[in-house]
Amino acid sequence: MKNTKLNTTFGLTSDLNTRLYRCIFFIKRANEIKKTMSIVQVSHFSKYYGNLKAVDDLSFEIEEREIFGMLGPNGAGKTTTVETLEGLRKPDAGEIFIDGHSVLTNPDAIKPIIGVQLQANAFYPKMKVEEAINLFRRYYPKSLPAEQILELVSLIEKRRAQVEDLSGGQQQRLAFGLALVNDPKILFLDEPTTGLDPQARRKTWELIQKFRETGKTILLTTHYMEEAQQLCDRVLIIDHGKKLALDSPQSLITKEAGDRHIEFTLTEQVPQEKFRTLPYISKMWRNGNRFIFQTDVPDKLVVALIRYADEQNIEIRDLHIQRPTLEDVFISYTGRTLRE
Amino acid sequence: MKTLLYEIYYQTKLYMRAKETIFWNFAFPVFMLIIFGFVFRQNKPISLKVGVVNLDQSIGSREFVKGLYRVPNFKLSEGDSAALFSRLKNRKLDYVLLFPKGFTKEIGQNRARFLIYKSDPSPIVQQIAMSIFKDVVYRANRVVTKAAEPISFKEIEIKSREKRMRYVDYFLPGLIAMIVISTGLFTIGIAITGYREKQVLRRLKVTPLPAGVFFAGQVVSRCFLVLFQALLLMFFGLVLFHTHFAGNWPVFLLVLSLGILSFVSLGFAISSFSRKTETAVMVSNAVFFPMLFLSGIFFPLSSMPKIFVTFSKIIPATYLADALRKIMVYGEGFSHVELEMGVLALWLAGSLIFSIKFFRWE
Repeated sequence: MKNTKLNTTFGLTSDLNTRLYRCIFFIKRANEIKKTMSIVQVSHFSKYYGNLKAVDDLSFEIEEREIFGMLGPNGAGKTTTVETLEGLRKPDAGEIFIDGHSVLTNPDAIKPIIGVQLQANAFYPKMKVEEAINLFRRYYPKSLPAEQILELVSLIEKRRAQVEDLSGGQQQRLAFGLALVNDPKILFLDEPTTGLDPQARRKTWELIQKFRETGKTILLTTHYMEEAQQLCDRVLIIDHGKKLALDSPQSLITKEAGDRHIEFTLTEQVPQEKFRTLPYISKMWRNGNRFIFQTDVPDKLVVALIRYADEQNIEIRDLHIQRPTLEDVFISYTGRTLRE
Repeated sequence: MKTLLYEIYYQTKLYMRAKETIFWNFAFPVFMLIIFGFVFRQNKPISLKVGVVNLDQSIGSREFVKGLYRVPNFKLSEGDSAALFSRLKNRKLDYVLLFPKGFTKEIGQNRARFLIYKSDPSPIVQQIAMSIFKDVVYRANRVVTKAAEPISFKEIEIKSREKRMRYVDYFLPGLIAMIVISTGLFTIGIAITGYREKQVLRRLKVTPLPAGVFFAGQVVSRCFLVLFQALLLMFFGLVLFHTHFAGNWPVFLLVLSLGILSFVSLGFAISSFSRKTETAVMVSNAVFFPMLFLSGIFFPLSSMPKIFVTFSKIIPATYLADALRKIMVYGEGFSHVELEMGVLALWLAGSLIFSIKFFRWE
C-alpha cells in the first residue's frame, strides 16, 4: 500500500522507493527497541466508576531508572492509575505493559518484580517490625535479607516493636521497606509523604533517592509540588483523569509558566479587567485578592504596575517577584491551585 | 508449602497476641465451665435409690435390711431380682443389694457376704454410697460380735443402658461447640473484615502470595487453636468435675474439623458482605447469640417453646453441639453422627459458595 502510494504521489524510481521503504522499516524497528526500553507502557488507558471518568484515555511511558512523578489534586485519577498498574484494578479500556507483561493477561509475572507502597499503610495489627518483613520476604521467590531492609529504612532499633506502636514516619518507612523486600525492578509509591512532618518527609526523599541510585525505576504520586520538583526526572500532570502535561519539571516550568512571576495582594476587591491595560503581561491569574502576572520583563512591569495602582488609588501589598514553580504550571493548566 | 507453614505460624502467633481473643476464647469458656459446673452441681443431700433382693428371707438378713431402712439417705425398695435389675440398668435405681441364700447361717460362720450391684454411678455418689455401706456393715458387725467381721460385701459393676449425664457432661461438648462458633464468627468474620478495612488484603494482593495459601493459613491456624482450646476445656472438665471422654478420637477430630470448617466459612461469608468492621461485629453478634442459646448448648431444648425448637433444627450450632455430645458423652461412633455431619457439610457448602461469589479484597 505504502509503496504504491509513494510511487504514485511522488513518482519515485523503484530504487529510491526500496531505500525509503527500508528507512521506514528501520524507524519502525527503532521504535520497537525504544518500546522495550521503557519499563512501563500505558496506552489509551481509561477507567470509569459508573458515569464518572476517573481516568480518561491516558497514555504515557516510564523509562528505566527514572523517577516518574504523577502530580495532580485529590481525585485527579493518580491512585486509580497506580493501582491499575499494580494489578489491583482492571482497566476498562487501553493496554498497560510492565516490563513487557500485560497487567490484564499476565499479572502473576508482574507481582514478583514490583514493590508497592499503598496510600494507606497496611500491616497486620499486632505484628512486629521484623516479623512483618520476614513474612513478606516469604511471599517472593527471591528477597533481600531482613537486616539490609531494616538498615535501609533505619528501623534496626525498632525491629522488635509492634507495628501499632510505631510513629507515622516509622510506619511509612516500614511500608517502604516492605515494598523493597523483593528487590523490585520498579517501585510504586502512592503519596509516600502525605501526612508526614517536614523532617520525616525529607527522610523519605533521601530513601527514594538512595533507592534510585541502585538502578531502579520509581513511580510516585504526590500533590506536593516541592516533592515532584525535588525528586522527579519527569512529571505527568493530570486532572480529572486527563493528561495535561508530561515533561521534566524544569522544562515544564519554562515552557508553561514563563520566566518570572509577579505576585501581589490587594486590600480590596478589584476586577481582573482593570489590569488588562498594563503592558508586558503574558498571562494573568487571580485567586481571590491575590494576583499573579507572568512576564519576561519583571522590572518594567513592576514599575508600570506601581504607577498604575497609584493613579487608580489601588493599594498593593506583599509584592514580590518569583521564579515560577510547578504549582504555577498547574495553575496555568487548570486555573486552580493543587490544594483546592 | 513452606509459605503455607509460615503463614500458619504467623497467623497463630498473631492470634495469640490479641489479648481480647485470648480472654474470650481461652479464659472465658473455662470460667463458664467452672461457674456453670459448680452452680448446677447437685448440692441437696444425696438420696440413693437402693433395691433389695433378699433370697435368704431369714432372721439375719431381715434384721440387716431393717437396719438399711433406718439410713436416711436410702430410698429402699424390695422386690424380685428381674424387676430390680432391669430398673438398675435403666438408671431408675442406683444400687441393688443381693442377699444370697444361707446369709443368716453364714453370719454364724463369720463368712456372710452380700453383693452390691452398681451401674456407673458418678464418683461423688459412689464415694458417699460406699461410706454408708461400710458404716452399716460395721455397725451390724458390732451388734453381732465384737471380734471378727462376720458380714462383708462385694461390689459388682453392671453396665447400664442409659449413661448417667450430669449437667457438666451435657455442658462441656456445648462449650466446645461455642468455641468453634466464636472462632469462626469473630476471628474470621470480624478479623478478615478488619484486614480488608485496613487494606491488609489489598497489600497482600499485590504480592505473589496465592490466595489459596492465604485462606488455608487462616483456616489451619484456627483449627489448631480450636483443638488446643478444646483440649484445655476437657482437661479442666476432667480435673474439676471428673468428666470423661467416652468417644473415639478420630471421629471426634473429624466432627470438630468439619465444625470449624463450616463456621470459618460462615465467618468468611459474613466478611464478604460486611464493608466495615462495625457491620461485621454487629452481624457476628446477631448470629452468635441466637446460635448460642437456641442450639441447646446451655440447656436441653426440650424445655423451650416450640418455635425455638423449630429454629434450632435449622442452625448448624445445634448439630455441632449434638454430634460432639454424642461422641464425648455416649461414645457414639461415626454412624450415629452422620445426620449432624451432613447438615454441617450443607452449611459449609452454602457459606463457601456465598463467600466465593461475594468475597472482595477491597
